[in-house]
Formats: sequence, C-alpha cells, structure tokens
Amino acid sequence: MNAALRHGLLVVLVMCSLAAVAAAQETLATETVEPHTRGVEVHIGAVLASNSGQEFDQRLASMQRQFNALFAYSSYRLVKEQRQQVAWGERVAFDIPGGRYMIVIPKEFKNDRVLMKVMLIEGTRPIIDTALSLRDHATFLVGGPRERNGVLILSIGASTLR
Amino acid sequence: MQDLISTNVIRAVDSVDFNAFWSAIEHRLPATRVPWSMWLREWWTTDSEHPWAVRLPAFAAAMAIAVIALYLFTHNAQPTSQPAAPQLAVADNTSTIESLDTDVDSVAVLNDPETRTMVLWVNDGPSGDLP
Repeated sequence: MNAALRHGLLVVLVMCSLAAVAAAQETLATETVEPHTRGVEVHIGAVLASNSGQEFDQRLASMQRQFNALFAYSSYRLVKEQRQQVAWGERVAFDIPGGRYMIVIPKEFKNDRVLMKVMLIEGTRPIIDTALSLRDHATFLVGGPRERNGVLILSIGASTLR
Repeated sequence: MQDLISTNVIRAVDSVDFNAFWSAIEHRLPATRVPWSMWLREWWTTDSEHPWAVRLPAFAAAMAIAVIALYLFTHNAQPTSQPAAPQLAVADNTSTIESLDTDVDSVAVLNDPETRTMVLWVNDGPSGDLP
C-alpha cells in the first residue's frame, strides 16, 4: 500500500468520523422525547395569612421568600395540606376551611409543563375556574378568600410521577 | 580426485526434488497470528518515502476527534450544585394562565419575578383590597 493510498484512506476515515459525530450531535439536539409519566402528584396547601402576630409556620419555609416578596402579612400559618397521586384526567378535591373547596384536574404533561384545570368553589358559586400551564415541580398560588382575621392563600403544586 | 568428488556431490544434489520440500514443511508449521498493533506499526514505519504524508493527517484527525470529544463532554456536562445551597435560590415556578372565568368582581395577577411565582388574587370582600 503506497503513501498516497494511505493518505486518501485516512482522509476518508476522518471525514466519516466527523460526519458521524455531527449526525449524532444533530440527532441529540433535535430529538425531543416526551418523557413517559405514569401520573402526577398534586400538592395543595391552605395558608392563613394575617396581621395578627408574627408567626411564620416552619412547614412553609420553602415558600418564605415568595410570601415575603408578594404579600405584606406578618403571620403565615399552614392550616391544611394534602398530597395526592392521580392519573391524568383524574380530579383532586380539597376542602378549604370556611366552607369552600377546590378541585384540581391535571390534564396532560406537555413540553415539560403540567396543564391543569383549577376550580375554587364556594357553595354553588365558582369563585374561579381557570386552566393553568405549570412547570413540572412548580407551585401556583391562589389568594384572597377571607377567613377569620386574615385571608387564605392556596398553593397548588404538581410533580409528574416517572 | 577432488573434481571427481565435487562432480558426484553436485549430481547427487541435483537429483533431489525440492519442489515438494516447502509444502511438506509448511503444513507442519503452526498457524501464527500477527497482532493488529504489530501490523499497524509495521504499516506505519515501512515505505516511508514521505512519512509526513501519512502522519500529518493522522495527527490532525486525532486532534480533531479529541477536540470534538472535549466539546461534547463539556457541552453535555450536568451543572453541579452544592448540597448546602438553599433550594429557594433555584426555585422556578413559571406558570401561565391559559383561561380564567370568575364570579367575583375583582381578580388580580401578582408575580414574583425572582422565583417567577404567580398569584391569582381574588377579592371576594367588599373592600376589594390587595395583599
């Protein structure tokens, strides 16, 4: 085998290697695989916020920064919490102190976001009926319903089950 | 006398048939396998009229593959985080309201830009105040 032939062989080999690497990289970049999820865990919490006292419930430590940035209450107390694993399309019902209740229905998981329907109902009156798109493991807040000397802040979180 | 002996020896040697000699030996030899590394080394070092013509592209190819491998490794490396780092610092509660129906007079949307936490604030009281 002479030098020219070896030279050509090496050039072809290098070009094939580069083409293979480029093709693999392009495949990795363009392929968007929707991860398989077997359901979702819905986390709902009811927080009583008020200006009576200086209490901050340590069970809410992970949300302290958000609460301080968004609200001006001096006291936050977790009055009820519920975690429930459900299939897509299945509803989660959550009784809220004060005679209200919340219904959460996770619809689907798409583009790393959980699409869900959230209804807050008082008696037969729907206070809100909304469709949300929530990042996986994120939390959305609904606030404002009056309760005793303060207001209720409801946190709704969703984490996919894989 | 010496010539006579030489003539007789040459005649005797010429009469021997060497055609089947190698084939008779060859089939008794064990099969030897040359390692590909040795073969490659042999191929690399021989016929080196212009050795750079082979080695330069080979080194260039090796460097290119190394650079690509390094790029892929660093590009796909997962960011590391210190276990002691507070979880709140990385909280990202990005959410979008796709649709909203309400039966109350006033609804406000609040947002914490740092954690991207969104609040749907409903005013169900007569004062209609925000938090």
